[in-house]
Amino acid sequence: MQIAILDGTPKFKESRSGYLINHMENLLGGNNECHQLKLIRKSQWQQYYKTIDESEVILLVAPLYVDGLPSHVLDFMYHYEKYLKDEGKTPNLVMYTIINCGFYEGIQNKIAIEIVNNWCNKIGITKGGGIGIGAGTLLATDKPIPFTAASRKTLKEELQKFKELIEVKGTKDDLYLNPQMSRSKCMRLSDMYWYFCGFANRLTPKKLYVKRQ
Amino acid sequence: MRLIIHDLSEEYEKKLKVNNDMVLGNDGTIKSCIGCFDCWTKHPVLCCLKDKYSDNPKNMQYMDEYVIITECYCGSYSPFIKNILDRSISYMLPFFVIRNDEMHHPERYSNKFKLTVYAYGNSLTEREKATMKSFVKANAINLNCDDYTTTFFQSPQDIISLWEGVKCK
Ligand SMILES: Cc1cc2nc3c(=O)[nH]c(=O)nc-3n(C[C@H](O)[C@H](O)[C@H](O)COP(=O)(O)O)c2cc1C
Repeated sequence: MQIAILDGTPKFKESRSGYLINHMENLLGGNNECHQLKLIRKSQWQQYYKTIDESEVILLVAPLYVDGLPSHVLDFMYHYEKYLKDEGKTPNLVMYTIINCGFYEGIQNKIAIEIVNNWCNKIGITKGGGIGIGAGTLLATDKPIPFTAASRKTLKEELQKFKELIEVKGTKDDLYLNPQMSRSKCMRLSDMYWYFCGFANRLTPKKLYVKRQ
Repeated sequence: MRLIIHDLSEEYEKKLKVNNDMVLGNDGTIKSCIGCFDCWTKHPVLCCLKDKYSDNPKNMQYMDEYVIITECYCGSYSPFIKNILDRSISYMLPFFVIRNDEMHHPERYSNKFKLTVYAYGNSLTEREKATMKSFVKANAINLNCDDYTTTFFQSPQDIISLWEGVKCK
C-alpha cells in the first residue's frame, strides 16, 4: 500500500517530527511504499497532490504551533481542498495524525488534531485517528535511541499499535500521551534546554529575559 | 493601544483603523515561520525573517486589546493569521510555569490585554465553531489574557458593519 507521509515541521534537520517519521517509516516500510512530503516546500505541492492521489493513506506528522497547526500546514490543507474541487475529485483516503508539542501534556495537541478531523470531514476522507505527544521537544535529549528511554515506553508501544492500525486502515479514538516522568522534572529539563540553546548562541540566561522596546 | 491583525482585503482595512490602533494585514509578502527559535535564544523578541511582521511580538507589549479578524478554516485561524501568531511566540518567555494546571510560558512583558476574535465563514459547522472557540480559549490561557471572546460572522462585510456601528456610537 502507498502511504503519503506529510512532514509538517518547517525544520530541515533535528526535528522531532523527523524522528517520529523515521520511526514510523521503519515500522511501516517493510510492507508499504512510503513517500515523505515536506510541506514547507511549497513549490512541490502540485507534485504532492498527485502522490496523495495515488496513495491509500495519509499520515501527517507535525509539531504543535501556538495551540494549532503550523501555518504552512494549514495553507497546504487549504490548497489541497481547492485542488480537489477544481479537479472534481473525491479521494478515497484514510488519514492518521501525530502531533508533538513542547509542553508536558499530550492533551494540549487536541485542538490541532480536531482541526485535522474537521478537515477530513470537509474534504470527505476517513479519519483514522490521532496521537498527541507531550514533551516532544525532549525526544531529542533522549538521544541516541529516543524510543528505548523509559520515559517513552508507552509512546513506543502506542506507535507500534498505530502502525498495525494503519496497515489495516482501521480507525480509533484520538490518544494523548504524557512522557513517563514527573511534570516538574519535565519542566526542569525543558528550562535547561533553553539555557543550553542560549549558551550555544553566547547568550547568558539573563539575556534571554530581555524586554526589547 | 489596540492591535488589530486581520486577513481582509485592502478595501476593508481602511475601515478598520480607529485613532491610535495598530493594524496589520496581508499584503502577500509574509514569510513563513521556520521554527528556528532564534526569537527566543539568539536575538530575543526579534524574528529572524525580515519583513513587516518581524516586529509584531515587540509591538504586543503596548496593546491592551488584541483583535484578530480571521476566516475560520476547519476551526482554525486562516493560514496568514496563524503565521503571525506563530511568528510572535517571543512575546512570552521560552521558560515554563504552571497555569490552569498545565504547562505554559511565563510573561516577558507586564501589559495586560483582552483577546477579541472575530471569525467569519459562511458555512461553518457546529464542530468547526466549537474547535475555534477552544482554540481561542487555549491561546488566551497561553498568553495569560485578562479576558477573551470569540464571535462568528457570515462574511467580512458583517464584521465591518458591526465595526462601523460601534465606531459611530
Ligand atoms: C512557533 C512555535 C510555536 C509553538 N507553540 C507551541 C505550543 O503552543 N504549545 C506547545 O506545547 N509547544 C509549542 N511549540 C513547541 C513545538 O511544538 C515543539 O518544540 C516540537 O517538539 C517541535 O517539533 P519539530 O522539531 O518537529 O518541529 C511551538 C514551537 C514553535 C516554533
